[in-house]
Amino acid sequence: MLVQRTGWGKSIVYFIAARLLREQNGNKGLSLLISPLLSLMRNQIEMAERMGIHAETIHSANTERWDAVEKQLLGDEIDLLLISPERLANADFYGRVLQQVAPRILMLIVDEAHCISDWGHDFRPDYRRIARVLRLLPRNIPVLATTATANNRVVEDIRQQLGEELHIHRGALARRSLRLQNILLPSQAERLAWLAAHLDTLPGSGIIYTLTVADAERVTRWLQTKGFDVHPYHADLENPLREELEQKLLHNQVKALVATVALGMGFDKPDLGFVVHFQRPGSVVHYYQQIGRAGRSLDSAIIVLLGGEEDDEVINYFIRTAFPPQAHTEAILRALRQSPEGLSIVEMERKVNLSRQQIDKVLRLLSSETPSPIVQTGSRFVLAPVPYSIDVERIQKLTALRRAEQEQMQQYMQSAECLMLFLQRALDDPHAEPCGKCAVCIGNPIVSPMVDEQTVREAVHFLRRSEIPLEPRKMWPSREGLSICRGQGTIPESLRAEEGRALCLWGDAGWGALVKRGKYNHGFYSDELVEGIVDMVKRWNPQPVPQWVTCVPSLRHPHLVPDFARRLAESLGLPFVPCVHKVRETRPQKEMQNSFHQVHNLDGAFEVHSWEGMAKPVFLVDDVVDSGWTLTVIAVLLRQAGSGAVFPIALAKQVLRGG
Amino acid sequence: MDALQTSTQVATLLCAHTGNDPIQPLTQSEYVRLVGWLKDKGYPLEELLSPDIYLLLLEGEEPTGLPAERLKALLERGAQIALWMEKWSNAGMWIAGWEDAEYPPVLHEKLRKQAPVLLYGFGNPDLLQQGGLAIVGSRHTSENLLESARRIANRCAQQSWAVISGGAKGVDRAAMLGALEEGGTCVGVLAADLARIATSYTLREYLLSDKLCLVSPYHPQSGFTAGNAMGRNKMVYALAELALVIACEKGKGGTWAGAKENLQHRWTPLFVMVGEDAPEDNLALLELGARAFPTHIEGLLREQLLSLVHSAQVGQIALPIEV
Repeated sequence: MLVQRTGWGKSIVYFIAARLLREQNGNKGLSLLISPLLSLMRNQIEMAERMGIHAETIHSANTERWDAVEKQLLGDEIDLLLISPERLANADFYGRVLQQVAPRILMLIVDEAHCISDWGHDFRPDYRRIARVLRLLPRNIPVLATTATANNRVVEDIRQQLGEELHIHRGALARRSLRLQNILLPSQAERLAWLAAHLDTLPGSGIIYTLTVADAERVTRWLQTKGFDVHPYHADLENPLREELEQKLLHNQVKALVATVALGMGFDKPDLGFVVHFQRPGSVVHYYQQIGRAGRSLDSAIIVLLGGEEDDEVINYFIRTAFPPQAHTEAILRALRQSPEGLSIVEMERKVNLSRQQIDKVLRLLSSETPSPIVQTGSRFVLAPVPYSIDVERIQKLTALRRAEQEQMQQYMQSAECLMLFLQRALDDPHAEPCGKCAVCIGNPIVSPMVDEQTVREAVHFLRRSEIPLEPRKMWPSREGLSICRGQGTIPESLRAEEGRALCLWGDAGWGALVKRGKYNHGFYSDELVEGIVDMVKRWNPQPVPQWVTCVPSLRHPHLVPDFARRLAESLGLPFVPCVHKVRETRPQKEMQNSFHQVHNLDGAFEVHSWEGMAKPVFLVDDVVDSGWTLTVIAVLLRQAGSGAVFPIALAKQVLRGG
Repeated sequence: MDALQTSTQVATLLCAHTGNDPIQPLTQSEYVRLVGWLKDKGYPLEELLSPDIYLLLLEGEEPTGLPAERLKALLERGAQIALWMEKWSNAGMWIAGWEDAEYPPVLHEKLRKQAPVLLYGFGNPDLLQQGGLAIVGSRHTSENLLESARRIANRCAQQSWAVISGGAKGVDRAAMLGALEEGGTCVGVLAADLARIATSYTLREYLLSDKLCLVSPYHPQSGFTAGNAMGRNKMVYALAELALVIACEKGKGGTWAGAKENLQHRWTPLFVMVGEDAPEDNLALLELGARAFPTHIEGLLREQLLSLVHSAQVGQIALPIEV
């Protein structure tokens, strides 16, 4: 295992090893490189080609190349095949391709090997599988594991998993070119203003990291309105677009990409001029990895960590949801115990009240166990004949570790000693020493921490205009068991809601806090929010223009939303007609975890009383929208009762997602 | 699953079928030949994993009749084998080679060169070393005979005597469940589909409670072939102290062939059901040296049957066995 800083040239080691092994073997056979992210692979393939090494990759986003690559594999023309751990676990890929070439694998290379460890921040269950495969390898197949970020704990964990025969080569982690600085600016508006004021002074092109997809989008939009050439980069974007964006950054055609962790490990741009964190990452390992992308071939690159008031809330959320709650795991195992034939994921959704994401999380956790209590055959999961109990202690330990890492980053934010030294020590680097270059060492800011009030005001204004589109649902989750769908899978266009708008994200820096206060503290949504929505409607200008307003009824809070909707209707100069009635109590929709249960919970709960003017287009108002099924179901009922087009309006959309 | 011991690892590289094997894995006899030659030369089996193995393999080409290229290619498929093995081993499957503690010595003693190179198994491997009564019979049998098989297996269970079965439908299944449902232990020796059967709903609890061991000399997802069934039958007889044929068809099918092979090799003393429910074909086995299963036995089944076997050996002439 090779532990060396980013930019040290780890890939050259395995390129050369792959080439030598193949030459020794009479130009037959190949090495297999398992690497976690596509962005990494594109870079590495280009680099390999420059060294005269034929590398190829097969992944979910280059299906058009598969036939060609497979042909080359079978023709023994490839030195190095790069695949993701997920691909390695993919049954179809394994049977169709890998098994064909697997007899000729000369060496296995595991890049970003810290992912093997539970303790590493980027722990991925699929890497657990790699560790098991490595343990089963005979000793005539060499294995090379590489990483830039492994502290002692991680190294020990990897040694335990791979066996005592692991040799560890460890180099110094310090990066001489990085000039570190931390700036605490609590409100998002201040940080947006800082970026607008100082992005131009940062050298070359760089990366601005955010914790969530929504933040990446929003920071991008703000900077674009300020005339900067920046683009968002996160896991929700299609692969071709991501590739295009990477290329733009590589060739300095953009000032910055505003990215989540999706722009990840090993993205290799030697002259990346700066890395700014809009929010504080969850751990030193994570942070070090991300800043390590800057300044590889430069004498100097600027690294700024902006910390803010929402950092801990977001990170706490990630920590809280990292592992599935024990009850979810138990529910899935119980369902499997009751199913002699096993269950597909779709069947699990019907049997247990868990979302697809929650089910996936449980399945990933269970599959990562060694041995695992479940096994997949085809599309179904069955119970494996191994004893199993949920390892509560392991989960508690890891959660405690994540908290400790979070705390360490909080300390780093305030560090009064050399920032690079702090990071190196945190990573157990035996060669740690003061850098002489960071803001602490030189005793002066590298970039001014100042923001001007005018820009801050603009940023506040901007944040309050960050409404979110609400996409209409087009499909019912099931044809069966739901009376509202009338046996159809698709929601006919004539009954669908139109695209709607939410004023903000739940709890965000614009309107979010006000909505939250309204819902939980005051039981009343303020007139400020009414004005916010009126402004939003003006910008939005939905067509055909709605002529009346109605709202989602509630038996639990009978006045909260109707009262708000009435005031909104008044301000818009439209009649408010509360013609939707709740005829049966439902459980809180947020307790319903997947589409089937969400719609089932609402099925038959509402009635629409027709009135003479209802054929005109209408605004349908709710406060907080989560899955969107309530709006979908009521829109269908309104249309069935003869209303015109239905435009949903919500105060906030519930969403918090990394990636 | 822990790393395999080196000799077992070498055996998997050389002999394991994965369902997709561009290079033909070694057959039992080829493997035996190779191991014999290495032993004569004084090379340990581990030597086959050393980097410069090719010259040694070339040297062995003539005496073993195994092309060096083929052996080298097999020895290099470690990544494929590891990838293939990981899935089921993480679902609880174990693999045992000749030198592993889980491998029952009785297979070496009785089957000698035919002792399977690899055993794939789920559940408690200790059960393989506890003897027991093999209860065998064809897949399609009358309800009455299935009931007999179940009843005898029940009785074994009550008397803490293990049942060994072929794990197929019909008699095999009735005997297996007859033992398990009565709280007894059972070894199911499978000719095919080990993985599917081991994850089946009915058997999971028994595997978990260490009452059942499912084992096969064939890879966990192999399909059924007549050849596999015969290989499986060998193991059923070899593992058992005594065997009982519930029903067979004379001159036809696996039960007949297996019983005959057992009598020829004298792996284990054989009883056969006779009487009104039993098919007439069963009687043909008597002519080959099987004993009639007594219609009424009091007390401990194992001891009674063993004493019948011993008294026969003392008192009767040699059994008419054609080899």
